[in-house]
Amino acid sequence: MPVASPRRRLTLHRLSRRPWVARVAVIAALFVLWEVAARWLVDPLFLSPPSQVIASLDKVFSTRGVPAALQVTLFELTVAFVLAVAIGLALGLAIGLQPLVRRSFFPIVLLLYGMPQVTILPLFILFFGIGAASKIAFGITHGVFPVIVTVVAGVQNLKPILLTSARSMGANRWQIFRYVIFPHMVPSFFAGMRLGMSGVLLGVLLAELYVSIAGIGYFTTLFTQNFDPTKLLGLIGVLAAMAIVLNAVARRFENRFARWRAE
Amino acid sequence: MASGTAESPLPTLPRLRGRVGRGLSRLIQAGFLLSLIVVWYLAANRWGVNPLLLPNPVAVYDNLLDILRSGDFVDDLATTLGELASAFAISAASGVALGYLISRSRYWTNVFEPLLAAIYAIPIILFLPLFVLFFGLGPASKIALGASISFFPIIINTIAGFGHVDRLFVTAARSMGASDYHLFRYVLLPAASPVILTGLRMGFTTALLSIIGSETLASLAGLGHRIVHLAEAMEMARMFAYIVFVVAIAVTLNAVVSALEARGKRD
Amino acid sequence: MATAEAAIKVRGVFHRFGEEGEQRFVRALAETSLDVAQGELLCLIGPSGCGKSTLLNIMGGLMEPSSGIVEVHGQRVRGPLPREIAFVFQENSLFPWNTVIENIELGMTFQGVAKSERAARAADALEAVGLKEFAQHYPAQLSGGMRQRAALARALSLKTPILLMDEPFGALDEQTRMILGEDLSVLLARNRKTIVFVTHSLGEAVFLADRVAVFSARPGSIKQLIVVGEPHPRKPEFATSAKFTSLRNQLYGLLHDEIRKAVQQSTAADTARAEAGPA
Repeated sequence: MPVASPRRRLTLHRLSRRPWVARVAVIAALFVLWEVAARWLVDPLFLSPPSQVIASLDKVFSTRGVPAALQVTLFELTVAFVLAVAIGLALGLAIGLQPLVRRSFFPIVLLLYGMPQVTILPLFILFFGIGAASKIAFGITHGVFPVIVTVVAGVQNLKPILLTSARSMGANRWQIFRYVIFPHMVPSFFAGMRLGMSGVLLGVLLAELYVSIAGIGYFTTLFTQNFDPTKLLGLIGVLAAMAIVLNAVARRFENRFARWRAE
Repeated sequence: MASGTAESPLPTLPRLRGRVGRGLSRLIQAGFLLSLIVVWYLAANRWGVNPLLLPNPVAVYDNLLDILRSGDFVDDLATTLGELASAFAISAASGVALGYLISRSRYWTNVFEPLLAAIYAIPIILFLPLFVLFFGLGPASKIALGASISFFPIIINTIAGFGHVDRLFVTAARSMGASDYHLFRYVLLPAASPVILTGLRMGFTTALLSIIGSETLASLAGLGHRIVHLAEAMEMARMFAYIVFVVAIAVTLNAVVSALEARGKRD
Repeated sequence: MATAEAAIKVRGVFHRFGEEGEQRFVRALAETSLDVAQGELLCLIGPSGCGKSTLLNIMGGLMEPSSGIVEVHGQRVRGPLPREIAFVFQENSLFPWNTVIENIELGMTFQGVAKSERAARAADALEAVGLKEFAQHYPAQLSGGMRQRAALARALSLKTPILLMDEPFGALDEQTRMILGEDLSVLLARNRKTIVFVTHSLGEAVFLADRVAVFSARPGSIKQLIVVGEPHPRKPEFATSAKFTSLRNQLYGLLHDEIRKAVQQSTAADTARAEAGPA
């Protein structure tokens, strides 16, 4: 009885069973839809086809000031992220470790976390000016809350038996913090950092889109006002890609440090 | 017991039992908030902070009362709520419907789940300039953005909700002769609804935030726009009053939606 | 025969949780006095809720009793004594983010063992429990029985004269318990520690103990002390001997009514809680 040769097995049918193939197909289909709509269905003043967008990407980057603006924005993101994580960790530990402090201040933290911060965006601009400082500040206030909340959770859900065990072996306060509480909290902290990254991204971009003289917000406004969808789409595309990459990197870090989690 | 107990990881202050402990934390909260207001008052009145940065709390309060009494807020509130309702209606209907369809197939679930999660990671507010370019500064661009942003948590949760229904329930129902409709109405929907309700709540909250956000960034009307307008006119006290108003509205709406979610889950 | 100084002296220890009138008030342990001789293995056995774990925690300094005194080697107990007493708990008390060997070395760090000694002691302890090849594994990668062996290794590495074990095999299946019980007996014959061992299992108590303290239902007090009188290490054949069976039957007779009582108590408590409604 003839046995199917290995070559035969790589039929289209088998290929289509792999999810990643379908994903690529879906994305490709969307691009095709976009292309068709932009070429024949929609006024070119409002939408450009992807072929054109990709072709003009280099024009976007060569537009005077765009690379510098990207740098400024990246700078704002970095500073905001580092500060948000540092402040979030410090506050999270301060709140999580003492029950009285936690009972008093955690509800306040949650209240602030749920507040629509965008309402005070104009205030931030008034306080910090239209430069990078306001973007960084707004990014920090968006990024700090997920970090605080996850750090508090990481400290809280430590199993009591692990504390009892350490105490029974003679661990002092500092040792308990360093060898028991802190390592237990690390995976939650990394999850918080990932959420914090999203928050910082949102905050900085919101502030940029509101008013900007040196960041990419300046150029999104410019391209919008000049009815230049090609360049606008190009710029937004680059930023969206950056957001996806940052998120994926954050996830990688998170998984690496949570290896010991049985869950 | 001064050494660490189950509640506190580290040695704590003498353990305050039950009601006393709870009362003390409330007291601290109240004290903290009160001291903030006091500092605000002093800063505005005694310490000579620029009134263009920090208005007098009394003036803010007066403005707030004035806004409420005169009904000044009605038009903007109507605009914002209208946009919210439209956006949520679109994203909820499409999110649940498409989510259900995708969840029917294990294969398509595997295909779409990572795609949707990846897109969810992008701050979609980034696309606002596009929507403005396309729809103009009116409500349409806000509705489009709000619907786009809130679509994702709804569809992701719907897929998860329907997808994680225990196969055992389906098998049991089929063995008793359930039709597709029976299955959907009496097994899948009730089993999936807690997760879907959470998704709807998240969608509502993000829709609200996105709409206020986009009104702040590019609009001619609505509550977000009102705040920006007042900022540009340097009418600080009134702006602060509106901020308080909008935050109160947002908190109330979120509370209502959360309560609905909890009630829906309890049944 | 001169009586050697008891390793652990429990005098008039009584413990309650909460205040009278509070919903959570319970008299956990009735006034209890007990001597644990140097080098003996004493089992505490009794129905659920009888306070045996409470007594163990009090003995080890993890809890302050409502009244009464505990002395260890003549010293009054006021808190954990990491150099005298090591614990082995029932559920997984290993730190999940550390490997097995890191867990053991960390225990010594807490106790204050010099850094130069830790590696050697850890290796010895792992060898003693038969886990030498698993030193670099994480607890999540081990079976329940192996995790408890690792917890035991950690306790052994601390080289304390006293070991307090709170149902260490309680979460394991019967077959694993059997093996671990035999291995424990062999191990303990080698290094003569004083051990207090809490268990639910009648067979385990008879197999391992020099003496068995039988507790009554809550509030627990020692109903009777039974002497087993069989030299360590206990051979596997001991478990099928007539002596074993008779001792086990004796325990059964003493415990059966207490167990029934305890079940009634917990049913009553559950009903009361259910009727009181959600808090």
